Amino acid sequence: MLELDSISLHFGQHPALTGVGLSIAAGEQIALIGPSGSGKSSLLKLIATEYQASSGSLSMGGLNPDTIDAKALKKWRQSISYIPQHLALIPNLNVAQNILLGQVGQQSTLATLGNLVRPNQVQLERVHTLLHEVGIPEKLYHRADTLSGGQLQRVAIARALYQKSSIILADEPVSAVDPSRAHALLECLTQVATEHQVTLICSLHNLDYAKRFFSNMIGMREGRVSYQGSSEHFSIRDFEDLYSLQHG
Amino acid sequence: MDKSLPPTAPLMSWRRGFLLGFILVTAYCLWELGIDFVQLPPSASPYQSAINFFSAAWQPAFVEQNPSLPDGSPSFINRIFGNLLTTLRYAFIAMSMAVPAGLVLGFFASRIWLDATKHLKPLLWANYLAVRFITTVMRSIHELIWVLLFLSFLGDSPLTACIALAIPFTGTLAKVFSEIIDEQDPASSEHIHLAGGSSVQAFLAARFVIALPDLLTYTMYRLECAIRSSAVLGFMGLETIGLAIKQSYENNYYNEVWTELYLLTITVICFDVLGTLVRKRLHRPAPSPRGNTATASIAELKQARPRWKLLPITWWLLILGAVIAWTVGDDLNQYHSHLSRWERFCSFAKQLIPEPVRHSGNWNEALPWLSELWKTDGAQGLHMTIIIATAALCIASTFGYLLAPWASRNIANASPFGIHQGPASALKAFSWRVLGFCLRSLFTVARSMPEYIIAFLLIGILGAHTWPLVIALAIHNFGILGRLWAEVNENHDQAVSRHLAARGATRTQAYLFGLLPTSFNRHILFIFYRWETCVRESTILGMLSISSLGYLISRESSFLRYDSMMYFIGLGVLVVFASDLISVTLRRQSR
Amino acid sequence: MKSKLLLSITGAAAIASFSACNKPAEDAAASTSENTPVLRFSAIPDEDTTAQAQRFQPLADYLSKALEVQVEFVASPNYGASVQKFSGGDIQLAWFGGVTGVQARQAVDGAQAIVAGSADLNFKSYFIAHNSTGLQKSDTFPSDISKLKFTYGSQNSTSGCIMPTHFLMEASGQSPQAFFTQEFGFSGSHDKTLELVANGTFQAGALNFKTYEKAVAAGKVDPASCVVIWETPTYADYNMTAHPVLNEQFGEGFIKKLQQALINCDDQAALNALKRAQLVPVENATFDGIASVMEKVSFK
Repeated sequence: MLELDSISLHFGQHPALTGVGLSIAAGEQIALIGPSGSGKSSLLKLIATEYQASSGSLSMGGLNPDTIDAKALKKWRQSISYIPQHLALIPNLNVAQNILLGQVGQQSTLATLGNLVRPNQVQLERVHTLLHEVGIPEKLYHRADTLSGGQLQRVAIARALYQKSSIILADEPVSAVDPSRAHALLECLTQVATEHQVTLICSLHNLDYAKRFFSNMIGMREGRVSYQGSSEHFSIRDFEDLYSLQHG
Repeated sequence: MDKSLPPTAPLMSWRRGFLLGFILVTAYCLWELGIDFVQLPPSASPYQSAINFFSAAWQPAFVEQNPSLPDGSPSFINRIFGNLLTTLRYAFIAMSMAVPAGLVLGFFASRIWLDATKHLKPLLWANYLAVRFITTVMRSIHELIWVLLFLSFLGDSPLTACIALAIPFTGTLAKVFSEIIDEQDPASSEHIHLAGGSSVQAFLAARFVIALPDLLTYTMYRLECAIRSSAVLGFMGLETIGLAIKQSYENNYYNEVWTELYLLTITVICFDVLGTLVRKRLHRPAPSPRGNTATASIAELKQARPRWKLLPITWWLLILGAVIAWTVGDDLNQYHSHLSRWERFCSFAKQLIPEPVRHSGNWNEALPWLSELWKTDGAQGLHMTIIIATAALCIASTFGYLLAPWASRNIANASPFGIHQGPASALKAFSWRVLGFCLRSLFTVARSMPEYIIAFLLIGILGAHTWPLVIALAIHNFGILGRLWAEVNENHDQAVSRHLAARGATRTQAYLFGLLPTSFNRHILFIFYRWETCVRESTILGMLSISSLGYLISRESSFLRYDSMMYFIGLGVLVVFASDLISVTLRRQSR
Repeated sequence: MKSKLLLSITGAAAIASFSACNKPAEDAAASTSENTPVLRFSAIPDEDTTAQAQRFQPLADYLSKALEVQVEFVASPNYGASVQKFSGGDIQLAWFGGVTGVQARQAVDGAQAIVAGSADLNFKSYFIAHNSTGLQKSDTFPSDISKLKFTYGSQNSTSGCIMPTHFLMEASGQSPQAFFTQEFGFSGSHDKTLELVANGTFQAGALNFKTYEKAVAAGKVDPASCVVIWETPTYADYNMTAHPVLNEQFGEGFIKKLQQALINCDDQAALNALKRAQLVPVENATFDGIASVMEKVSFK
């Protein structure tokens, strides 16, 4: 479904990605592993079209975001959900309003404003259902800045799902969270991704999580893909090599 | 081991430079003004005026003091309440025009569009600069001067007052709105872009929504300012409470003056308190309802949602107030002259042309006329205006800074910074709370009185020279700065102070070594922000017959010499432009 | 739900109270919008300025009855504003002082001075001083005041500023800037000048002779503590000036009718508003003296 062909991305002199080639099938759940600065965020942002590749091509469903027109680009963007590391929720709106903004790319400005002021019943039902799936249905009308970190992550996941995209990109969703909460979050994320049949790419640092929750893995190092395959076959030694840790 | 000494700290840093500069500037201003605060001649009872005036404070009048009124005139209370309602009415009308206009202009004056589409860039830049220029001109001319300008061709209808108020307020609102919008974290609006939303959607749904609490808070504050400014418009003849104060004072009916002062101050304080309550609720989420709502339906969740009741009530009341202001009362657009507004505007515009040019028809005559005005009055007036403003600000900052910690709730507390100091004593806790409350009230009262009115009253008591203006400006700014600084102290990160206090430091030590160093930069920014306002106010205060630009403006106006009047107004505008540039540069450097 | 009900009640109450307060104003507004011309007049705020509108109401009522037109009084906050209103056409008639009258007639072609108080043709100013200065009444101009802290009334007041300055310049050959060693001030009104000199805030001042004599008669000021040190020669001062547009708006000969109505006025309340016992006819030439003084007096 998603094809990357010899992608390179430079920021001035600094090469963020070099010669990245990937082929991702629909419905796959992939953990993206690599040390800081290896290009994980850059890769995710590239797919989300926040950055444009310096060379190489990216395509999904036959379309390349660098060559299509503005309207088609909007559609492309709507078909990808991106959860940034710091979530980008709006603190003084309530949870329902934040989630409804997930479909902003498919609505007119007037409709967006209308949703913020008076969401219709059908939309609210859907939001409520999604909140049930992520486990916090009672927070429907609570302001976003009253929620804990873990709850905010769940809202971000619900927003990504509301978008009805075909692929979810999550940038280090559990890096700042304690093990039991991280466990619960990843479980939630992978379960809803499976239920809604969306492709999931999630960047992580913890090998245990990667192996436990994700069937596939991509390892990156210094801007290059050094491993792509199933997570079962990725050993601890491979992990230590990737992170340049001393062999224990 | 490396035996060289570690490098010593530099002798001059930004902060030391600032403190040194502050002391030097204060000393210079005091030297210029001379330190005779009371310039009264050596007569038998120089303080009689002051005694007369202040002793009337305990006996505010409730009936007219003027003995020569015909029977059947409406009562005193009726008259001043009418004036008060007119004051509120003009303020509401002006704000209802200024807020939408300010939003639109603020939108165009913000920098977020400058990073947009490349081929539109020069057009957007031109737009940005033009809007910034217009809004700076709008707010650099004080509302009293706008009234002076408009009275000559709009006539003396309420419309003159409302437009004269609305214009500078639009300019200020536009500037502050654009700054609030610029300062928001762009992450949320970028996210909407990435989800396929357009720029407008990203702005409205993300940036604007996040900025909304600050925008609303500032609007409430502006409304309070509008009420004060509307009161002062009375000195130009419009039927607001300022007119009543001026007339009562001129006729030496001091008891009436105090009734009117109390009424004005109480009204302003009410709006101030409302603004504070609204601000707290905008920035803090409402408490969540108790009970398990995991199984609740949507309708039940909506019913039980956390919300502040005060906020929608306030918005509805304000809108209702604006509607009433527009529809009830004297016709806004009364116009009685047989000459059309256009005719009057043309004849006014003609009189703006410098006199020598009018007579000879040659524009080269304008240059010697300009330099003549500068040499005789302009330079001196401008100099005095700046000295008054700077001196007032220095004095206000000094006193305000010394007292602000004792008005901060976290410092003026039996347990400073939350660290308890031994066995709890209800008396100690109460005394500290009372101290804090008294100081905060002092700040509030000081800033509720329009500085024009304070100066007007002080001139009668201290004599007609520059010190009453300086003191009046200083009192008003003392209240504003004190309150702002107390709030900064309360909202700033307490970690260092708490640590010091927990290790045995006294209240003062914890403040001086914990809070002050880290919050100093924020504190100083307020002084620069107030300087521009002080200059604008000191221009106007001169209209009370003391040599600053305001005196020159009113003198030329009373002799119908509109050309030289515009020259002096222009000088004032230049100063505001200059200070605006300085403040923009400072903001960028402090980031 | 409850809060919405409370809100509507409050709103209704607010509207009701607002309407009650503004009823008379609304009636006036309704009538002016009907396009019948209204005679609007004003007066310079030289003394006793609180509730000026109420004080002048009897005069407006008298003129309204005598001329059978609608008459309205409009307050002016200061001298210059009254002249501005007149020249702009906001008012068609005004009770001016000498200087403001000349300014108004110079600004509007065809404006006529129609009446003045019987004593106004021989008006004079008093120079007063606080008794601590030791100055006594003299027959010649008191040049000693050059060293004192001095106050005028309002900047374009005839008896409070312009005429005293004229006599000062005649006697000393200098402008006030050069004559006074200390900075002089403007109190804004005759009442204020008297108060400020009486309590020593200023050591000397110039004001309208009537204000002084009235205050002494009412016991408000002690003539021993606040001494008259010089009386100026007499000059013509206050007057009613009419805008030529009156004849267009109300018919030919209206100004003559107005003049007659004012001369015939014996309504005490109306005359009290002007604080005059009787009004006599005058013409523009009566004030030529003031006009020439205005050209010579300079504050630069």
